[in-house]
Amino acid sequence: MDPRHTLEDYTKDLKRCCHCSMCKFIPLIQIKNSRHSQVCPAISQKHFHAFCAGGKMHAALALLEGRIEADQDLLDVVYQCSTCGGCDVSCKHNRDLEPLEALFALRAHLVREGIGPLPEHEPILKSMRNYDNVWQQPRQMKDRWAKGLTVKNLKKESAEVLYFAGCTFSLAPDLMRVPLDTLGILLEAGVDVGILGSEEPCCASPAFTIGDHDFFMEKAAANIRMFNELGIKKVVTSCAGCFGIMSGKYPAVEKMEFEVMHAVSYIEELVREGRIKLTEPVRMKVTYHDPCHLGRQSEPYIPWDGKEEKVLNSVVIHDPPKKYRRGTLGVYEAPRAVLRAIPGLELAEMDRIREYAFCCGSGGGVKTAFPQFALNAARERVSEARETGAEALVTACPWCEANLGEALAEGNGGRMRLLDFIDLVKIATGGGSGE
Amino acid sequence: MNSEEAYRALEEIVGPDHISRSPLVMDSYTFQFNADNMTGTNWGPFRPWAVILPASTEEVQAIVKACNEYDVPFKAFSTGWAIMAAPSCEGCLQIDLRRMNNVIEINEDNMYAVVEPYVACAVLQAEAMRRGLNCHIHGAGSNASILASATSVCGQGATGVSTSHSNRNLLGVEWVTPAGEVLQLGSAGQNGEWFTGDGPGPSLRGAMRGFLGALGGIGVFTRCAVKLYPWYGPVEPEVEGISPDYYLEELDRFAGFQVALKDWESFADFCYKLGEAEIAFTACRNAPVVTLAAMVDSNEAFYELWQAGVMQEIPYSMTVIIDAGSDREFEYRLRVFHDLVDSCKGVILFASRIKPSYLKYHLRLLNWLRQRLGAVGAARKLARFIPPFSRIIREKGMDHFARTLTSAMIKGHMQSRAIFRFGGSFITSFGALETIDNAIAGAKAGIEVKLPYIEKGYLMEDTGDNAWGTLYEQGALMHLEEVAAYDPSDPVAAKGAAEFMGDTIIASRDRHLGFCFCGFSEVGHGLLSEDTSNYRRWLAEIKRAFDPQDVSDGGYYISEGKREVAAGPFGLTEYEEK
Repeated sequence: MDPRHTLEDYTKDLKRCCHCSMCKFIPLIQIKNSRHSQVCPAISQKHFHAFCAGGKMHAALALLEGRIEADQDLLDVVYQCSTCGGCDVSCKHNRDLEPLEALFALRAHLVREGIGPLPEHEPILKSMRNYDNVWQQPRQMKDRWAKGLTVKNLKKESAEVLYFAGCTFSLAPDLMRVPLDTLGILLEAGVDVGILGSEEPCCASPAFTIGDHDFFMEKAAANIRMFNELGIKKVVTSCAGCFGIMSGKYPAVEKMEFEVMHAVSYIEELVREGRIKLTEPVRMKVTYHDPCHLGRQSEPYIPWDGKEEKVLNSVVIHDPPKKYRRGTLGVYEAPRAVLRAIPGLELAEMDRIREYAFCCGSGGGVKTAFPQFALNAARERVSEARETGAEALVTACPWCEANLGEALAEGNGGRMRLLDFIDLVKIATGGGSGE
Repeated sequence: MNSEEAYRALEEIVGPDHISRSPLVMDSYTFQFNADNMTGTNWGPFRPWAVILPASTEEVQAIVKACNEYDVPFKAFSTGWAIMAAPSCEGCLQIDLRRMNNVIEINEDNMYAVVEPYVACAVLQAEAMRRGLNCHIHGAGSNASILASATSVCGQGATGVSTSHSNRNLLGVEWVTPAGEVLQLGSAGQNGEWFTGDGPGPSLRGAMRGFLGALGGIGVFTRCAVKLYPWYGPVEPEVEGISPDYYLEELDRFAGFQVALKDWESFADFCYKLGEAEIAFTACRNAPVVTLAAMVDSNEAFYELWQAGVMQEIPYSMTVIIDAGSDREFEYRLRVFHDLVDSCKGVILFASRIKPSYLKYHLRLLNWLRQRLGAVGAARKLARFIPPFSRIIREKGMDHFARTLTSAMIKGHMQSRAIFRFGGSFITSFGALETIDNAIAGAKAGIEVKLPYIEKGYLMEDTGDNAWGTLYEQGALMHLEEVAAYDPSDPVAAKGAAEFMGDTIIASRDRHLGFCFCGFSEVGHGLLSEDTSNYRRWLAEIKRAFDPQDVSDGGYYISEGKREVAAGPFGLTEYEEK
């Protein structure tokens, strides 16, 4: 979406919702059983209609029409939502509406009115402003993960590819292996790659999802300008959040002279080209969790600047025709292709995958403000993963890993382990034992 | 009387997390489609007093008893789609049955399933298919509750020729009456088995639902059994394509066809013969406007093809799916089907498996167009139609149209697209379960009644013909309902749609077209009852007998008590018979 859009811009979408409840389910044709038919972590837990996308759209309309006050009840409903976009996929199978954009616009509206976000979100926003990361860590800590590594700093040198580690992978001690190993594999493959070290900025994804769109615009524009000025042509990141925001939202902010790829796609490309060789067997049955920001929310931004008109008395058409992001063009095949190419590895799929994957529950500021809600969603996902009989749950997002990891630590997954995509690539390239 | 005391009593039943009276939560239930016909806005006439989320029959019973004790009217819904699910009176407790979402049992031997209210058709179908069975999916679509359709509102759907309709598929029932008694009807009340809705055990199907259902106005149905039918496809059909073009994999021993007939008479002839042959899984009439909408991925693509004017020239068409349990039977059924098409001088417009011999159909179609439009007229329209049509074929494949329609008929997952995507809302009428000829008479009347409303700009310009319906029970019955799309954000159009609805009720009465299925609520009864055995009196007696305190909000069923209720559901308070 264009972050400049206001809630009022979505009034027609709000009014055209037909209360069909499709947003609660995965696309109906994809339902395989009663256990895994739901797509929305919020309505699955809270049950009142207000918590589904349709219900939140009704709330937004009620707010615009002065039927309800912007009070704590509204904040509770609006922010107990991981903004995963599952609703958007299911709605758009049949309708040309923008439920997810409307939800983001509702958050932005509340922030601009001084009502949102929640107090729990304030430290995140403050940290982004003050430290350029979401974890309230000094800027200098941002390159700690790369200590001892010989790699170009793109502030001083140029390279074909910028490896963008992202705040969470850079600063969470138990996740630092991911950027380190990814970069190691890229270097090993002969990629001309560099990093920004302690000057790597925050992508500002949390500001967007929480609803501070003014700050997001400012930060995203600064980042785009920085990358353009440095002459960067390709950004590769391991963080689904950074990738999703750069791919799906940055293009609305300012012209980008660079391409953005998630590491899974780049590695898949290198495997295809034979520059990364997956030779070591990994005898393991795994299942793959599609992160929302790598999947449905990473679909490239499609600009549209046209007008709506009615033909045949009531049929709404757009001039020029408007293309909708229906979530199906996210990154789904690349990680699976790599996993399937690893000798000995068996990939077992969960019931809800790809564009209709069930969210881990961590996004949208939920983990910060409603940790129990986030954990409940993760438990649901871990339980689904466990039903595949997999020995490991694999994903490619630091937020998913942290939240799913918490659910696994409770013992919900039995003996199932949690792995990052890169952990398996590392083993398959002979870089680790898998223990 | 709504009071703090009542709220506390209800809260004690379900716990504080499962009851709310926050205006925000209430408004998410006040917003309903077709509310615009009553209020000119997206909001129904009454915001609930509170919403409650029971998790069991025991909780529902306790809630209903509390409502009787504190004189709180209540309205329950399952998946809750359309204004009839919302309160029709002030101070109403909305019972949202979402937490009751279990498939209790699938009895493979006796071919039935026992479900709770929030089991959507898509969910039951997926579970049934895993056992080689299938359920009837009513016209609302597979997102809607199968229990609601079976117990509380008429439920006709695309596969009716082989899976009957929800009214008839209802077997045993568990019913919390408005007075708070729990009744188990049919065999469920006799020995705990659910295989029949009538004896052994008490049968109250006529009283609890009849043809139309009580639309939530006569207590709460907490469980029911529905009949299941054989499914010859795979236990978990693969889904191919990407949104918005999801398809089922090509299924062995399934073949989908779009058949066109030359006129209504040959259409009727084809329907009778197809039913008698007992070979079809689906025999569903989609008007050109809906057929086209289902096959394209945007209103823009729809408009481009519609403007060519070709589809409008082949309106007498039907989507037919042939299935079979063995290769030999499949071969036989296909042979019979092709013989029927030929004997009725029909045309196979497209099919999941196209044969070179189908060229004869295309030549026949060209001949029809030439006869209707003249050679030049036909050529002009085709010249406009073929480029965008070919573009879709190039992008999506030759079998795109047949696969889309076949998947939609089997899975019932695209109803919203075919109707709501046009302008945002729709309204529907006629729809009696009748003989094929009388159903077609209804379709013709629908066009006649609708055209003035199209001319006024209220309803979508669809030529007037948007009669949707199917054969039932191998052609014993048919229903064709007249669908009209409109823009709900235009209050004038919404009001016009309501007036159209009133006219259709009159037309169905005066032309003897059977019971119009929008003829509910006081306005509907007022227009219909006198000429139809004064059925309103019987409904009133039933309502009084089961709901002595008038707590089960019956505004969309029958108003027979002390409460002032909305006259709707289509804002017909101001309707005057012309």
